[in-house]
Amino acid sequence: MRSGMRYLARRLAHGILLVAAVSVLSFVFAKLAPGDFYSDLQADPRISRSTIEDLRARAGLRGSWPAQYAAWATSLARGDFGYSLAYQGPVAPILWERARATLLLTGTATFAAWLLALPLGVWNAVQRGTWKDAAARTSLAVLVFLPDVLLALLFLMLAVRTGWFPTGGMRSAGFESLSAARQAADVGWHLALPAAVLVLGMLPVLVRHVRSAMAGALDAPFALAARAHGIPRRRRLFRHLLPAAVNSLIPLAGLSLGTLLSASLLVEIVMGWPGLGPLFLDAVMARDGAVVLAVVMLSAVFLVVGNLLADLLLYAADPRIRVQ
Amino acid sequence: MRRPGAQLPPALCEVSFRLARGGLLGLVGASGSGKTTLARCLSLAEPPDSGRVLLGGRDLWAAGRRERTLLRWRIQLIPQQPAASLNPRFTAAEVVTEPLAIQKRGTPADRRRIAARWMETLGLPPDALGRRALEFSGGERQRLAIARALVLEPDLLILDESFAGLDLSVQGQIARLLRELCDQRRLAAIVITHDLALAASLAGEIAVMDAGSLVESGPPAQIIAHPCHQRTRELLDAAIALSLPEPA
Amino acid sequence: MTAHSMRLRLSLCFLALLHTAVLLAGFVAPYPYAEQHRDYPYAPPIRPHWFDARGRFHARPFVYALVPDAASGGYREDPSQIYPVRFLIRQASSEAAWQDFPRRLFGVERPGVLFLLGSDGYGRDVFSRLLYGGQISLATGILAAALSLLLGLGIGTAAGFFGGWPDALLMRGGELVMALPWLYLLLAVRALLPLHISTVEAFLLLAAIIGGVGWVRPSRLVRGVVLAARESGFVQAARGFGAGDGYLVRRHVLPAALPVVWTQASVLIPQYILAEVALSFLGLGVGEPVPSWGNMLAEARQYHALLNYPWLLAPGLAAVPILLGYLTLADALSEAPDS
Repeated sequence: MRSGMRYLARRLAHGILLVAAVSVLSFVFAKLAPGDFYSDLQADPRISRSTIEDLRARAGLRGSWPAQYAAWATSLARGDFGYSLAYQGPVAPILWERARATLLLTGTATFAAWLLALPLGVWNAVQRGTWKDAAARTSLAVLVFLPDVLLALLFLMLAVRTGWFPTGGMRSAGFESLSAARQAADVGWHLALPAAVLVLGMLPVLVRHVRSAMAGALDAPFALAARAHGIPRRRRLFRHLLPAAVNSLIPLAGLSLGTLLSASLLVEIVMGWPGLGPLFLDAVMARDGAVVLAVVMLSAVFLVVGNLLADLLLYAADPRIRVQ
Repeated sequence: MRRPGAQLPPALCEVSFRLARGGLLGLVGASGSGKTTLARCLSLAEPPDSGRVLLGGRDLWAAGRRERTLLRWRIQLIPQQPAASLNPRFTAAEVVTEPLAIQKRGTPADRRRIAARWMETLGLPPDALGRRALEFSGGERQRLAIARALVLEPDLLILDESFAGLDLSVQGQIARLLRELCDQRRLAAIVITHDLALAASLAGEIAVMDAGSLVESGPPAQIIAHPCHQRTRELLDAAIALSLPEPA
Repeated sequence: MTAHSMRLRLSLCFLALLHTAVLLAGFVAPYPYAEQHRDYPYAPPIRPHWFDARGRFHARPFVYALVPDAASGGYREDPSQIYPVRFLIRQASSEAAWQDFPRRLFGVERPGVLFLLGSDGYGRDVFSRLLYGGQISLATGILAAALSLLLGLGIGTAAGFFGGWPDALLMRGGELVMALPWLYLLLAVRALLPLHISTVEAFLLLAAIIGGVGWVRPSRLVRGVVLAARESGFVQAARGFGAGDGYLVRRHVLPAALPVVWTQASVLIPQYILAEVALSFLGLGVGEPVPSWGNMLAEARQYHALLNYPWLLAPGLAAVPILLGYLTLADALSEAPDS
């Protein structure tokens, strides 16, 4: 167990270092951008340069880079994500609200995608070589050829033309007056289309991985032994083979986890879901540095944490790794 | 050439011998006795922890990296699995001419000629020059490796278990070729093998290795008639069990 | 011919065909990309006919004139005016650019219009703009992929061949780049730079950013191959003949890495095409009036477009056969032991 602790500590330290390096990189990037939030004001002749400089100083945009970085990093550690110049308020509340919305969307979509992918992949693997397998693989392959943007626009078109689904936003008007159950239903109704697009995007890759993992397990010697012992198929599948296949799926799960915040950028923007995507885009266009940095850092942390979790899970699950 | 070396745990220690031009040394020992490590040291593939490799009186490891690169070609090692030492994408011509190309000797046409000649000497069809290395059989690839080692006409050739896996007739052919090269071209050669009988039939001198040390050496007749070391005796028994040895 | 090599050839031919059509947009497209037909905004796709109103067969396909339809608010066909489709038609247009040929593959005489995929808000032919736009999107994808692969090859070879601290440094650097979500990184980097720049600058910039960010995975794959090659018997043997590092890299290591590069190319190019589409869609790529599939799709995003003018989604659909071709190629390449 001690070696396990060491491994854990090593991976954790590695993750922290990575996040720190990301923070420096992002900071430098943001500072390298020509112009800042107040650049557009410079074009306005009515505002004097000293006023603009004052505004800058107040916003913390003066001073040497290391000093600015230190200030930013320490406040970040305290949970203070800075001040949004575009929204004229602290970044943190906006960030969390949008992050929650994004997580709701991607969390639901990822969960649904895995829920669909596991039985589909298992079924596919069992049906290997038959026409059913080929048919399933072809239809999934077709999905791969449809770009996210197109899918999102198509679904949006569906919503616009039929009116069965809302065309944007997370809540309907008059949301507050609804009962809790109806509120949940309302959000779900808004969630449906964006989530569907995400699920369709994730499904092919997931199914393919589950399929090959299961196929690998099916071919393994212990599987044949189980069959020879006369264990019924369903029991074999789910009690013996699936756990073995799970090992190779752990990195994928880690990736799913890690990309929870970043996978839906485009879909959110196209379909009008009020998550981190639109926030990020607006901040980037407006050069709202604090928001840009906060979103990038948050997503990076998620990615690193996701990978870390995957590493640890793999370590716990696969005894072979421990020997290394 | 004198060569003692030690590693942790020492694969080699207390190894020291001398080989003159035209001499054929048979290095015998069981697996794990350090033969291959010695071969790698001698061919400058691995630096020794202590000791020297002298070529014509010159300490090769003391020389700078550049100089060593320039002199390396003079000692050629044919490793245990020569197939792995051939780039599968190369044609036979490219394989055998490679040393000449690296050393920038002659025109491409010259090189091909030399390569064809050596291939023929080793019993390989010269029209196979255009075939890819992976299309040859194991034994043929072994011979390609030997041909390649010989095109540069090195001073010392080390064959590490190169006779294993070859037909007896081919073995005989190569053995004859070796003797000829040693006698006429003044090539020095070390044949590493665990087969004492083969070494005895081929070499002018036999050295026996055990657990990283050189335990006994001498002409084959003497070794066979009066083995001193326990290991030598074991090897002799094993050889007798397989076939009757014939002193050279 | 095995099924596998069949797939390889088919996908290559298919891709070659698509790329040629796009490259020769100046010939294949009926109209220059900037030509506006102010009388026909948001016209639906015009179908060529072979049988006219009286049931007569015409060997040469034709189209009817388009007239505004007060009832539906759109257009209807006027059977009284017939414009035959002419091939190798001479197109005189004030909007012709340097790449436009004096003759076009097909078209109709003015004042007839041939909008195979309808027209946009300015009355510009969508089909033509699709082809021209493909130039930008495909070229960006290919250029960016070339950059990524060049960087990946160089970095992977350096890391794998020299090992030690250069290897650690480069791989850690790669990990850092990978820790940032891809699209976010692209957006952020793009937005760093001035928003309003010329078309050529925008194109090169986009390719540079997309390619400059994506070298990590190729470099890792190359590094793996290089490590294996470095330890291989034939490299050791070549060293034994006095080969220096330069020779080894040139003759043994790089040729071993090339198959990886081709496979990665077939995977990266479609990804990067989609990246360009995404960035242009968000307004950060090439701008008006130069079309790219991304900025054409941005027009489709509007409410009234989605409701009434579905043909504006054509650029999105155009990406599908491209993806199909490249991904089939990628499959075929990754199966081959030696191509």
